[in-house]
Amino acid sequence: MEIVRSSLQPDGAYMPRAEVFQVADDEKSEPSTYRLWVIPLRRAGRSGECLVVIRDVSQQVRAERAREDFVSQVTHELRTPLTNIRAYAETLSSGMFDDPNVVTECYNVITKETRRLARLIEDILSVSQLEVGSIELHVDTVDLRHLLTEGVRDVRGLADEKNIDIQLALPAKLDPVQADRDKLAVVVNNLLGNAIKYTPNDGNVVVGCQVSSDGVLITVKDNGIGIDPQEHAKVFEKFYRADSEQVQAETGTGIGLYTAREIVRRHGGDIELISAKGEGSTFMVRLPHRESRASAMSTTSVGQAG
Amino acid sequence: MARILIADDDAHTVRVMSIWLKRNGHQIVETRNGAQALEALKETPVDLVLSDMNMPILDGVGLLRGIREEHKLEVPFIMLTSRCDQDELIQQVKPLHGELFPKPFVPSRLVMRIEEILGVESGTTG
Repeated sequence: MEIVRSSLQPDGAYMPRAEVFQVADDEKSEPSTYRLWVIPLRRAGRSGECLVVIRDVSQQVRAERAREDFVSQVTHELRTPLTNIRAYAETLSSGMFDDPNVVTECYNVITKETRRLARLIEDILSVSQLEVGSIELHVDTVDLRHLLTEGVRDVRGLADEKNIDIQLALPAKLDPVQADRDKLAVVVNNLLGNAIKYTPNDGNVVVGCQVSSDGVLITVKDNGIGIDPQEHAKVFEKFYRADSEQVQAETGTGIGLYTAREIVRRHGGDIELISAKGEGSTFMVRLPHRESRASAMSTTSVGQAG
Repeated sequence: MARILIADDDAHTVRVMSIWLKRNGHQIVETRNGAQALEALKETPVDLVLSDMNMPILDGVGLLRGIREEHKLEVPFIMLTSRCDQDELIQQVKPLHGELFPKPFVPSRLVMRIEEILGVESGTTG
């Protein structure tokens, strides 16, 4: 055990004070952070004695660091589309560029970047809602074919930029399910966005869906860079982004998959990942059947009566 | 007119600056990160480098260092940044004779600053 940094002064014993110091078990592991209070005991005949309180604050310090990283990352992510919106708007309003191709390009970029900004804000909001646990599900009957078709349509532009082919492979018959439509749309959007982001140009993404007596299974399969099995649990952690060059080359805040899994879990389901490095990824969303609103209400009243 | 190298991982930013600078008759070398920019500079001498700070593989500070220390070039260097810790960044960039330009930016102002450094009459004013 070695003290890495200590700001504790030997002459500081007369005032109650808090000091912070870090202790590392060895060079490799992350040092633990402790807060130490020295409170002198001023009772008669007891001079020179003091009470020392030491508290492990490592977890708070780690959480604070993650939050700071997140704020700095989010600020950067928000400013990028904002920069483009502003720059292309000025290009239009300057009146100096009358080439119709340039004008069309400006409108397209502004539209696209506005959407990107809106999506980012949605993501950030949903994370903060998930944080305080206030995320409420508004369960309704959801037409999965419609939801998935719209989901694919929303990311078509992103996919086209990289010439990625998105296929929707749905069975002829797809029973409606009970879920929160908007939140499920966020799950689909995040998984599709993720698949497109980490699939190289000319790749492909396939979206599938099945409804059985066990529940609903939505799959998003890509032939992209894949994820090392050691990282499978981590990719769902909040703010986590892999260290690899391929991942760092893409913009992102590390909240998309976290949000997706939290939403699915609130529905009583979970997301599974099948992937290996270089072999593409398949995300499988499993949702249990929910009772329709009418039967759910009757269940509630029975519960309350009992 | 001048030859200007742009390094930014955001394609739209590169494109919009390209449109503006080309309109004033400048020639543009487009790159997507610091490493690509250093590579391009081996082949092509430029009059000014306009770089983003946050880029994959090699960021703006890395590029500036490479230009000064490896390539031994005194070419003017403007770094676009949306980072909050700008004071800290200035400490890194100033000794290497680079200057910061904040994001989001207005293209006409950036063009004006670039042309001021290059000592050419700006075509975007008035």
